[in-house]
Amino acid sequence: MSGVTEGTAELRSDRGVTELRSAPRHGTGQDAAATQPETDADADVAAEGAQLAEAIGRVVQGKPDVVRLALVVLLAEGHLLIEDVPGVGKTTLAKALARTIDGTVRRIQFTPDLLPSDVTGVAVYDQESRAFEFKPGAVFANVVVADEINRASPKTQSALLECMEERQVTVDGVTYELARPFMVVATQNPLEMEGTYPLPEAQRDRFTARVSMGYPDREAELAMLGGRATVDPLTAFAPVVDAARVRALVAAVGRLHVAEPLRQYVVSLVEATRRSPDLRLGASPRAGLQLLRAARATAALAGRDHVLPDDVQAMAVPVLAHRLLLTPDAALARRDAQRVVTDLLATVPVHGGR
Amino acid sequence: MSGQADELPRATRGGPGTGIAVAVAVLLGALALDPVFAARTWLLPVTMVVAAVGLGGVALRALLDRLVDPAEDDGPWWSGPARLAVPLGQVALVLVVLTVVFTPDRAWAGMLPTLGSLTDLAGLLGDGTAEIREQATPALPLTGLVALTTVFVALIALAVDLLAVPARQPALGGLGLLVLYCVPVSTVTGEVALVSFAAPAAGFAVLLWADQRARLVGNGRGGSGSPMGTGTLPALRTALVALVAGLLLPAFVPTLAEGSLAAGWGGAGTGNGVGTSLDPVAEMAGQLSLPEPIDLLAVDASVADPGYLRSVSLDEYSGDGGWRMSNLDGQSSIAADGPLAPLLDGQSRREVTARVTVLAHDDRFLPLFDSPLSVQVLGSEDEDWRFDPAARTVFGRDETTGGLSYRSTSQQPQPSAAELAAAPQDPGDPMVERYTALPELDPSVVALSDQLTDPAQSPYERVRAVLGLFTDPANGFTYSLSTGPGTTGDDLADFLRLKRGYCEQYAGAMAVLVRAAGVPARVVLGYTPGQVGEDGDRVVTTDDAHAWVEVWFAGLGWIPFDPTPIAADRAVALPWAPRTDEADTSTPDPFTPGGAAPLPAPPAAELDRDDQYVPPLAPQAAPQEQLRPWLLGAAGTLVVLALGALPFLLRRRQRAVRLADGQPGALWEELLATTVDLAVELPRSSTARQLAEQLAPRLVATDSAAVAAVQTLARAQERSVYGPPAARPGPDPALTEALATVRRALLRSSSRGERVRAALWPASTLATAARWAAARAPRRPRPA
Repeated sequence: MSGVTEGTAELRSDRGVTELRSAPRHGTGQDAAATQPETDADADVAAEGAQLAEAIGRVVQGKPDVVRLALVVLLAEGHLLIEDVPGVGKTTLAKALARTIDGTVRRIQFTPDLLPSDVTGVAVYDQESRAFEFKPGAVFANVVVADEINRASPKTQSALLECMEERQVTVDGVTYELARPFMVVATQNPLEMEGTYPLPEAQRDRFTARVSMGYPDREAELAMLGGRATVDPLTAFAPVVDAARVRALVAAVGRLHVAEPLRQYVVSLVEATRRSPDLRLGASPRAGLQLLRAARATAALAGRDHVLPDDVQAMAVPVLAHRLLLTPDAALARRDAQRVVTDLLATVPVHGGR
Repeated sequence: MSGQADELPRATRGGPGTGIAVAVAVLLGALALDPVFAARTWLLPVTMVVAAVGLGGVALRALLDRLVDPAEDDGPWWSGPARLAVPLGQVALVLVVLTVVFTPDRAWAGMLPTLGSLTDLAGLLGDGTAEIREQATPALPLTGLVALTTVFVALIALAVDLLAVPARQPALGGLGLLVLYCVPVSTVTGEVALVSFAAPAAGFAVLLWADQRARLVGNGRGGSGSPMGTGTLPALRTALVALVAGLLLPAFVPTLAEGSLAAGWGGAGTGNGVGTSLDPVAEMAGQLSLPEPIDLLAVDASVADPGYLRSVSLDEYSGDGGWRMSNLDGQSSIAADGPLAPLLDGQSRREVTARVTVLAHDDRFLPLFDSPLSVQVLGSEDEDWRFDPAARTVFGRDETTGGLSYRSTSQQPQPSAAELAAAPQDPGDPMVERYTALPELDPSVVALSDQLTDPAQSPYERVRAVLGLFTDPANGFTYSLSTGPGTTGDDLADFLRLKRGYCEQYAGAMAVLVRAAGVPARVVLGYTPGQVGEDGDRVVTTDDAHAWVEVWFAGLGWIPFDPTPIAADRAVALPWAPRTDEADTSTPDPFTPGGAAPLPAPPAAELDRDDQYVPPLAPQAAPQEQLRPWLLGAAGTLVVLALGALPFLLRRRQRAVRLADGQPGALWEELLATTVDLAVELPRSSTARQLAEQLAPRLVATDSAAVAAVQTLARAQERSVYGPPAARPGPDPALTEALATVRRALLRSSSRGERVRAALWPASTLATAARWAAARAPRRPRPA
């Protein structure tokens, strides 16, 4: 799959690349859906999820939880925000994820001079055909790695965030649908703040989950030094599933049974964040929606046909924490949003469970 | 937080703070008894036992925790029974305190109880139970009564301590305070002082606050743990609710007859309605009925003119209630050595012995000639007849005079007028203070008293002046079987204005006026000595019932005066108090042989010899039936037992229903209820499989199969709640079996105490009840 490898070239150096496996709306996206029905009843999410996780785990070593969360976000049709220092494997994770599903991957290195049209695409006048021709931007891919998203101007950030939510791009009145699956993996460097435009908290709401990679443990780092020194594991990487199959998996996740008590539990949790005295801003209704989706994906990966409160609890911190704003008092008391969510989990009663 | 959530915290008992809070709360609750007693001498022993229970509990528990590591589940084999040592130690401490305070005589080193001292204590408590029935509130703090109260409060302190500290149900400890509060409510006539109400409420608040705080600090959510921490507001709120409920509820509750500690004298007076006993009350208004006279007593006296037969003295005057008896002090009996009520030295006297055979008389009070030196009752135990030296009354403890006969030796005071006139006014005499107490009188009465007497006069002169008011025909007082219809609203003022009445009004009015003049006085009820019958004995009938006045003279004691114009053949000669209406004739000297000059007949139309006073319409209508305190007590105990067994029965039923249901949800509920009963703390925010994991360490120690069983239960519960409807599991015998396995393992992993408590006092049932109540209570949208 050499095409994929080329597709991951950096946008800055290869702005005019047109080689896209997943075409826009009027392209092959619909055809792919037609050839392989997405309502694949016997999609074994658990088994295929395990294969995916195992494949990614070969590249991102020693981080099963992060890999799992990335898969959950993929299956929940969400976007992932990775906040961590440079060099811990943010991009590697994104690339590995993209490659396992045999999809296209684009990486945008965000800089202050990046324009919105670089992200979405632009219609240019073709002298020969005497017509405007749409040149798709970087978001036309299955997995978009938005590196250091906080370095771009707010205008450009907004353009990306809009695409994430709408899953379509409108240029000059023409709407282009984005590929499916479509997943943005954005990274933020939390340390370096000079000359950056940190994502406003409200914008973070667009991301399904936030995760921090963390340093690998000693064994993983040793193994990495041994292996990476000679060969990049990404090069010896074969896709496990194709994009159509991922769509089928996503559909299967959507069919999971969600009982009424579980919905009530999710709502109770979200409400609890709004009532917490430590929080200035609680979770939005969208947060509840995405929490339930993520819980669904978790349950599916665990091989269950129904969602449990345990799934919700497992997803609560990554899905909710980055959307919450602490009160100054809580911040002074050195509480953080993750701690607040953990405490809420320990107080909100599980409906139906007891 | 995370560390606590992972491991299963053992149920922590209340700390030392809770123990001290219990002591404070019970003390506050005991303050409710304040209106029950006339003096506060009961407070010290009660404080001592409560402190013994509270501080002793704290100390013993601290010691025990030092010996047995509380964090360790499997202490040495004796750690279970050792828990019992705390209440036993508290009981021992209470016994020591009781011994020190009440029966040090036969105790070892005056402190440690011996068989002898315990026997004394038991006797004292027996006296106390009798005194309860004799005393009206406010009761005299007699030793037996105080001992009984002390034991009572000690038991409540023990119960509250057990409930609040090891069982961690301080709200139930409030029941103990409620019991304390019930004592004044059910015994004190009229309104109960605020302290009875506010003090137990404050005590309850203290209990709740201490416990709330202990829990919060225990959970690591106590914030600063400061006294005004998180728990204070709910505690105050609960106390306020309790206070308001306490104020409102009594309005809807049927009330019991009030006024005495137990049944008391409730039915003593008007019980038979035919006058064979005396009602110890002198009303200032009323009407007499005149049934056919009944022979009450046959008296064989050693003198021809034996004087009044004295039954009971009334020493408390309340304006509207007339004269009443204060509490009798029954600490000594007629079996005591020495003369009962000897006259003061140097007083003129004569000795009278009498043998009295009771005919129809049936009363608690023994009619005796004044002043009794010794009494032998035939046909009854001497111990059953108590003697109150202040009232000079002999009364039966659970005994009446019916069918008895008795002998008595008395010394009758025979002061001369000169002796009385010489008696000084002694304002420092405690008798003056006690027996001149009066409520606020009608202004006309005060004016009359000022007009009659002069503080410069000697006490005797003042008494004679008052007596003269009633006996001087010029003043127009007439005898009548009914008082006139009054208009002033004050019965005494009406009588003094309308000047019509019978002996109760005469004696009562004179005693009030004498007291108003600053001379100690009281009203006495009894009998005139009757007529000599054919066999030489005097026969006393119902018609001989009478009321007169006793006045206290310093150095001379109580001297009788009689203001009532009664028939000459009934009159008792009192040479020191000649009636003014007789003054123009020579005063007969009964002690001079042959000196019995015929007395002028009093105005026959008004003076009726039938001077017995059975008010046919007793206005205060005391409970007619003698209540049976022991039966009531037994019934109460049964009710309490039934109430106590209620949680146990409810829990059993709930279990049976859930097992019969067999659905995974019901079985899971039952498992959770079992953990709640056994005080296994599980966070409410845990999911089913988390709970199964949290239980596993506890189960694996006793039965490794139970770990699998609880997981099976958890999975079934999950599927039944969250699974797709089509795939939900139904009742499965294997699940019921799994529940039985888990339950067995849970029970086995608990201490014996926990098991017993889980059976008898299942916390889950109580929690269900609390939830039920909470769900129906109005709730604020955002709890603080």
